[in-house]
Amino acid sequence: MKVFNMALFGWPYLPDEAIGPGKYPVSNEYFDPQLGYQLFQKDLDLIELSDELGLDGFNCQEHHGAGGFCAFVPSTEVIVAAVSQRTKNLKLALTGSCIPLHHPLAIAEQVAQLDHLSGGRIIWGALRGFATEYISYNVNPAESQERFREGFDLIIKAWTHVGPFDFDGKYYRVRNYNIWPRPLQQPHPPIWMAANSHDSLDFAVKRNAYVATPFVSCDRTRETWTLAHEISDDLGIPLAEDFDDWFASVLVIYVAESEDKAYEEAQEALDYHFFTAFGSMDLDTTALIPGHMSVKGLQSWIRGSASKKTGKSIRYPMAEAIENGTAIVGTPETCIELAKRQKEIGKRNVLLAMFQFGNLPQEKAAANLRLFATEVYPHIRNL
Amino acid sequence: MAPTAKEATLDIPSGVSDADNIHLFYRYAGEGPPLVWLHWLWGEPAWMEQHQRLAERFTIYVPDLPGYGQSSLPDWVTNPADLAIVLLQFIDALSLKQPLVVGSCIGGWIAAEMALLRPQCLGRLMLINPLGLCMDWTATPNVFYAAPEQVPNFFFVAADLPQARAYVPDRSEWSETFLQNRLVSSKFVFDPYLHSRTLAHRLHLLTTPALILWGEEDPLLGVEHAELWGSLIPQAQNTVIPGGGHLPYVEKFDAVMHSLLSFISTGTSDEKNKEKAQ
Repeated sequence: MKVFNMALFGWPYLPDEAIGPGKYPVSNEYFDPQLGYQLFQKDLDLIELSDELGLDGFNCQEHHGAGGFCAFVPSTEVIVAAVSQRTKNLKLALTGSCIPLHHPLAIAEQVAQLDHLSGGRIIWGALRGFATEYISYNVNPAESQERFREGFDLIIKAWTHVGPFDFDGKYYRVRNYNIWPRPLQQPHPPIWMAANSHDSLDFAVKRNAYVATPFVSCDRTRETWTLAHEISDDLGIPLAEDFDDWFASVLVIYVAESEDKAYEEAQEALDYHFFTAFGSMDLDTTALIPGHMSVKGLQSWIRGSASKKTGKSIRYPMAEAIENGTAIVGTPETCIELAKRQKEIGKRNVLLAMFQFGNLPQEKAAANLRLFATEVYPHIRNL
Repeated sequence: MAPTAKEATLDIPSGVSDADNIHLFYRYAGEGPPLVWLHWLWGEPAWMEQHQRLAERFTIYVPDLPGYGQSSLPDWVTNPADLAIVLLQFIDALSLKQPLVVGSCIGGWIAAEMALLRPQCLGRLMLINPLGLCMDWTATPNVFYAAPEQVPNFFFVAADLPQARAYVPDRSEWSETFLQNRLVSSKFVFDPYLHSRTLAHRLHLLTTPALILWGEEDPLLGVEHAELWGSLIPQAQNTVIPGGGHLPYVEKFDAVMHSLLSFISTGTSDEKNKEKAQ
């Protein structure tokens, strides 16, 4: 089992009044440039620490304009460039590039550069991002699925085609182009697709990609894993030999000396995490933006979403998070057992773990990382 | 009394490969001169009262626009100007001579594009709160990104009327067809939002007799847009429907019908305009 430090770069200083219905996107008046500068350094220190402690990797997500946790990483490429110079062994995963919001060739070029800067440690992830980000960028969400798929194929072609090529797509057209530099890893860096639905898994299987699931329960990731294998069988397209080894999920990890301390501190930070992420965003309004979800997906959303809470009513109880596998929290002994369940129930072999989340201070996140690396990780790395 | 509506389909060859062809579904009824009704942004939910009324005097055709309802959408159709090409083919395929064209919302925009392409082939043009011109798009409500309980208020003065609910049902009743229609409309008008960057510069070429009919209380596109349309089309007739919304035939059915029929028979929409014309 591999463990990645997933860094959110979330903003931990939001006052209560910054959040609430109708306040999306959170105003950047709450971003303090000086505190921001310090926070970048502290967050990079934590990533360096996970390299020193021998974790397997680092990953971060692209978010724009306070969409998603008020994170301040609109460009994962920039962060990974910095991290590549501060670390030696960590795999560096972009999870991922929101293809339709950029020109695919720009993504291909930047990731190829990063592959060289990092000595071939890059894993590239591709996703579509939040629907609200399409509203802000004014990219037609009804085109996001098609743009994503076409852009993805263009990126792969740019990485793998030797010599100039042309590309004639519906959205992207390229003439007489060949990439400099070609990626260090040949034919290209490994790929993690964020996939949950049948459609997205079908796409991933056909392109021989690894799959990473977002912050969902172990039961759900097991369904995703099963579905990926079924689709592969149905299509007669074998999954990558090490597909299972790289089947990954996002979750929270918090280790402390006592259960009470771990619960209490993790709960407070997790409450902040969810409150700032969803306290202002109207989930129903966002979900119903046409095109981001398929019509089928929208139909089941309309039937299923009884609870559309906003504001302070959003809370994610720790006991529930631990039970469903979105959190590993407790003493080292507890965490070892919970990590084993991740694999047994959720089929997860890579944990994309947030060690710092919500408003958890960097010092506590560092203690969490150290305790995990010394007391938990040695017992699960060979699972 | 007009006969009940019939349903039919039409396959329109278009372009270089089979994938470019379009399968169109339409309803029709009545006898008399041909009239084509082009529906609003999120599709025609059924055979509606205004269709029935017009079928008493005309042969009315109400197609599902490409991508909507039971009609298909080929890749090459991406905006209302493309849709106009398909609708002209529809008219050709049915051999409709000088049809009257009534277009509501996006349908009005398409009707204007049709007339710009082939002014001599259409009879009179009636545009009901057409999209296509938008004086300040960032200040216009985003119909694709809004709490569902708010959405009817972007279109109707009285969102609780049964006809309003037929056009925009409660969220819990958004059917597969309604969701598909919303998705398709977003492909056509999300960006540029509800407008064309060139239409204002082309409308002076429009020579088909045209009525601009505007629900005065339209919460989406204010009545100042009616004046803009009227100022850009030479010899357009402008009629404002007090108390009407974006689909003014929902709130003010009789007033809209009266204006349409009056314009068709006399070339003016009401007495006041008649005086002005004289």
